[in-house]
Amino acid sequence: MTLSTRVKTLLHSKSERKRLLFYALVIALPLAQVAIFYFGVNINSILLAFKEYEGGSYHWVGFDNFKRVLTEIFTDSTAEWRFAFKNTFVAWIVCTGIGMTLALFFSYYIFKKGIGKNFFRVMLFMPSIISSIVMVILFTYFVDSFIPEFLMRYFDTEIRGLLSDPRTTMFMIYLYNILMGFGTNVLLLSSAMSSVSDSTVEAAQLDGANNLRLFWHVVLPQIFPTFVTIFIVSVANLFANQLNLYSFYGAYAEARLGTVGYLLYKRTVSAANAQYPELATIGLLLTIVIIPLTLGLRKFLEKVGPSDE
Amino acid sequence: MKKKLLTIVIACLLAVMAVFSACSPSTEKPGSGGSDDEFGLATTIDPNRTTLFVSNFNGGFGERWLKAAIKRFEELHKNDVYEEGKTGVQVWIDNSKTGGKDTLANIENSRDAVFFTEYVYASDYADSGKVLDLSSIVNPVLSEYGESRSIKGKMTKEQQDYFIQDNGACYVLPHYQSFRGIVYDVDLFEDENYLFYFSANANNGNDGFVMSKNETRSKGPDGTGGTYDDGLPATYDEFFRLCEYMLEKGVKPVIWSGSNQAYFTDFLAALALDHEGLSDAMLNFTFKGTAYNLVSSVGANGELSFMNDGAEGSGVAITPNNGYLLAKQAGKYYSLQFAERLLKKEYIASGSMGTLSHTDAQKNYINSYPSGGEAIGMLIEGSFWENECSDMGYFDAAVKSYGQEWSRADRRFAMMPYPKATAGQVGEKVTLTDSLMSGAFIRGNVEGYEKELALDFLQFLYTDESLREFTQYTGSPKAMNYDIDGVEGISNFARSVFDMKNRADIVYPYSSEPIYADQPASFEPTSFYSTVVNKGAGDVPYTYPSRAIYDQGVTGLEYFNGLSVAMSKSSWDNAYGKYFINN
Repeated sequence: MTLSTRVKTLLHSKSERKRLLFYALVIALPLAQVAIFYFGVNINSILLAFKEYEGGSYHWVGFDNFKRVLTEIFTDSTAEWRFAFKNTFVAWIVCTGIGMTLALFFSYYIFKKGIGKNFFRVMLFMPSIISSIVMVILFTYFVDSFIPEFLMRYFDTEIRGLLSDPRTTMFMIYLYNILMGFGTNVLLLSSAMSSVSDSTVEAAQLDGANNLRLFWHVVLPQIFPTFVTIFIVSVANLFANQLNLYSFYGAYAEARLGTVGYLLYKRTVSAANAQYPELATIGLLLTIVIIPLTLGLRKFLEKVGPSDE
Repeated sequence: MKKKLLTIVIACLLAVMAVFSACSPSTEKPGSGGSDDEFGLATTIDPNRTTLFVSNFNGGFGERWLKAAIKRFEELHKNDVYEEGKTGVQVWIDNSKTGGKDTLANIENSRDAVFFTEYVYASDYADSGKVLDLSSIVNPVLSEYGESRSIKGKMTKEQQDYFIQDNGACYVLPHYQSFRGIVYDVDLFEDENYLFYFSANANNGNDGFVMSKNETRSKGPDGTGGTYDDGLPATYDEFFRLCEYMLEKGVKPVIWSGSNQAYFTDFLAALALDHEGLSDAMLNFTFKGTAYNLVSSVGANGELSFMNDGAEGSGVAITPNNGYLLAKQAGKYYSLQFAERLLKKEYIASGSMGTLSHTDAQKNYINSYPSGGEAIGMLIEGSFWENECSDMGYFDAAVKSYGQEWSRADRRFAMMPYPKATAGQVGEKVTLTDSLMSGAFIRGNVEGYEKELALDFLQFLYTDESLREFTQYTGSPKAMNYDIDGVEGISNFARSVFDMKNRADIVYPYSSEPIYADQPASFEPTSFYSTVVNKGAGDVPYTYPSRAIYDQGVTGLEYFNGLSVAMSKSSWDNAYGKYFINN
């Protein structure tokens, strides 16, 4: 059947027309979202990548910005890019790896109605609703003032603040980000787990499944789509993740701590008109890298993920 | 159910607390909330007077200076009609913390007509078409205020070059001035138990430090006796002798903000530019002229050899083509040597390499002497610190804790002139660097009476009386040429800043050259210190000398050599090739 014949069939059948309308309405929302919030917002940014600012206005320069940016990244005389990429990937592995594992553990704990489950649910989500600046101040005070003072007073041990001490700075920043990422993940995963039917769980328990087997063979397969979504979003967000460095240090974080997201954000905040094309080019190049990575990973996870059948 | 309800209530309470804790008191408007406004300004908008909305960056300089000026302006125009049906004017302050870039992005829809803020890139403002040309108030002599100079006439040549366009238009006026430097506590220095001044007699039996207040002091960095800097360290060597002497006397030499190392880096940049002098310093922003202090090599004992174009002392011509050579300026080398010598645990107060905020550093500094604990001799800060510290209520708190004699009015602080890197430079003029790039401007789409009123108000703020009043309230200079002779109520600290300013060349770290105007943030003095150091584990980037030297054991020389690696010829060519000029 040719495409035109298929379309004709669809339009002639009332039920098919209804199905088509339903499909169109469902798909319209995400398409509109992409059109408005990606292309609409970024179209100027995409065009800027091919322009330069001179004499008070922007002019087309073809791929000059790409050449300049790629030369900057690959020669990297300041070593900033190398550190930024390294930190970005390490941060993703650490924060996603540890963060997701702990989020799964706590979500399962809540799902199994462990002691104080509601308390944990609220407390773990709390950082997500409190201003990040407040959380950064509290965290900084705790690790940089409280802990050294506590150790000095009760153990007569002098240490530097854990955030100030270069040996522990990065570890503290990872720790903070793991803690901050926790709440949303726990909320999403525990909500997904709550949809696992009681009868399935009871059946598994009657078959002698312990908690671990129940988690691995029953719960995880059923929440896997949610897990994949969270995981994929973290990949898509890879180059935007600035590890909350701007909340900790403003534009003044040490270069060796920076991530790609932080570097880009910091430059954008202080950029003058002539610097936007270069920043837009960096953004576009990073998008070109991240799109296939995200889509590929999603396909891969869908293929290898556990089945709930 | 009860538990669930309790959980929800706790969550809501915490959320509300978080929302309130995130609110900044700086957005408080005059009089809102039952004002106790000390200037008697109206607390609500008066419908019978013409209102002018003014946006003020409420940082270290606060808003009292603006309120004082508004009081006089409203009085001056109380019978004038700007708007039909209304007599008199009311100026309403909207305090904010919005910097120049974000202000410009949203300016067209703002209710404010006049703006004062920081980090204003004048060229972007000029290109934007969103701000008003101020030439009608900048060029005329302010004769209606009994003055013989125009606003333009109060600017330096460098300021005129930057702020006034080739066609005579002017879109931004320089606002306040901030110098980074070393603050010292005069009362502590003159305390009979300490006496931290150098004697005119280096062999006086007290390691060269005065033994009584009346002993004649050394000539200081200006090399002239009987001046404001007598007894203060003239060279880096003397500065570190002073630090050692302070330690002997149980005084911690220095404190600064640990959470924002840009404060310390800005100070090093100021030290570097002081060494270079105005002409060589400006090369970092104009890339046009001759550099006389470019280091070609550093000997084993720290002796420097300099680059030249062939003839001894001829220097090197700097253009946009070879701006990377400025990473070799001797001032940068010496400032890093200074940092290496200072960044020792025993010299610096707790928190300076930690997360101590700049305001906490100010508080710890002013409290250290009266508290009877370990006093702190010096504070590395901006010239606005005293006003900021006062606005934070720290002086009032000190009075409550230690007595009336520790009030702001009764204490004497001063800005220490930069010590010189070598004895040979003692006597050279001080070069100060203005560090905040603040500006004043008017929204471009003001019309009719609002435009007239906005221009009148801005012009009024640049009269000599307003400039002096600004200093009176903030303890800091406005970025204009004026004097404060005979002005009452100016603190010892503010006078010391003026004393130094009057004897100094001032570097305004900007220029109208395209290479600068297109990327001003890349050439900020703080960015002088982006380096790469390889200590065996590959290239590591550093932005702040303090962190690299104190935390990572990098030497001043390693840091200096890395500046040229980070700003290599190839990276410079790639970044700025389009600005190259044909020889």
